[in-house]
Amino acid sequence: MKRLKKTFSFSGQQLLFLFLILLTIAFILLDSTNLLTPLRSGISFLFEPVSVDASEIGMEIKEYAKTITHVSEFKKEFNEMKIDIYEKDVNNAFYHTLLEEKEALEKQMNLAKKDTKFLTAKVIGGDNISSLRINVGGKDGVKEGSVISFSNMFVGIAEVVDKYGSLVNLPYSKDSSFEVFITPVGVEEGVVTEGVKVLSKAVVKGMGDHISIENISKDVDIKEGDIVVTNDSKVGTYLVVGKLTGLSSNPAETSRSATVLPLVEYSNLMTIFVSVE
Amino acid sequence: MIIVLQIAIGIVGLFLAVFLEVLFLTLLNFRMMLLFFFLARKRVDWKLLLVVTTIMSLILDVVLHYRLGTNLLLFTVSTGILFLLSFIFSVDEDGIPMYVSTFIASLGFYLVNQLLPSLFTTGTAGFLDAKIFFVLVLKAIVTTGLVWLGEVLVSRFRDRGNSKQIRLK
Repeated sequence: MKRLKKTFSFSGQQLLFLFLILLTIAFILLDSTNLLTPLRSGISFLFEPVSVDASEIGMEIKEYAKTITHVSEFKKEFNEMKIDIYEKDVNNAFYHTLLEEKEALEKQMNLAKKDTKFLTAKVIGGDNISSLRINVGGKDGVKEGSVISFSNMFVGIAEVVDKYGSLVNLPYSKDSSFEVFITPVGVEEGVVTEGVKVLSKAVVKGMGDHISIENISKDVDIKEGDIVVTNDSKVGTYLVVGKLTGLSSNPAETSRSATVLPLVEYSNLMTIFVSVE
Repeated sequence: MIIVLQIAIGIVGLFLAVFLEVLFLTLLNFRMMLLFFFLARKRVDWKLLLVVTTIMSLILDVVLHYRLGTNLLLFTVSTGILFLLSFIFSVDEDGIPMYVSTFIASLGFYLVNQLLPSLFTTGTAGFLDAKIFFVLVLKAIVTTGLVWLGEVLVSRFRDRGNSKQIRLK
């Protein structure tokens, strides 16, 4: 009997396997009905938050690990993006140059004298105070003494002309000196034409760090902000130099002097125009 | 009082086990439960192992959105493989046969895990090709390695316990 009992006894592993099979079949069958829905809901309520937290932490760790293992790829991608950004910057700069040129041309067409032929030039250097270098020269028709303007504003005179470039003397230059007249007309937005009211004639001289205007008549009612317009055979007529400022008020003087504040910032110029007759 | 404490530890342990299982599943697509099952198989009473395995399987079925009984089926397959291999060689005694059987049982577990859950939920068996099979073999090897490591650690703890007992005598 004892031997018979031993023959039919199951080991723990066998029983475990047997019960696992039974439970598996039972659960799979019961889950196809709605009988286990409350059990599923209860487990979900209790363990789903833990599972979600673990999953999120796992994802984060995975992301960190991925970042560390792919660091060389990221570096490569970063370099590629850097190059891409540089290319875009170059394109952007080119676009801005085109835009600036377009605006300059628009101003020139609207405000410059219609009977004068102009050559478009780019500023390529210079000290921006007394001189500018431009990219057009003798080959393009520029001559020594050619007048450089920006819309209706005076920029300077071509001082040295090479084949492919020229040096422009700005009104700030100590070599710069020309005759002007002073008018109260607001000419910033319009073209100065003949017949404009001339308050006084004067002479503009470059002082290096500022533009001085001398020989202003004492008898006329001149005030700060009046416009200084070129009136010289060598620089042409009716180009705006700037506004009057710092007008002297010494009664002992026979004439008055002042400073001319240019309407255009020479250091910001990119596109300018050379008059070629 | 001890029973209450045991139940409390058991509940906390369940939460911890679920957390670790989902964490490693997300992180490495690796089933820690299988490792614990292989380590506990020889040491824990089969009734307790059955209860714990059933509860954990049901919880994992719910949190992994499987059909109830799927995880239990995976453990049944592993146990079944071990049971069948026990006719050829000893699967319980520490040695190469045990690790070979552990590897085969793990591979069976991962293969069924790859194919069946999808079959139960969508009606289409999971995708399996040579590359995935290779990954599953790799996972089974890792599981076997970890079982070996676990066995070594457990035996060291046991040895240390025994030596302490000897000193106390």
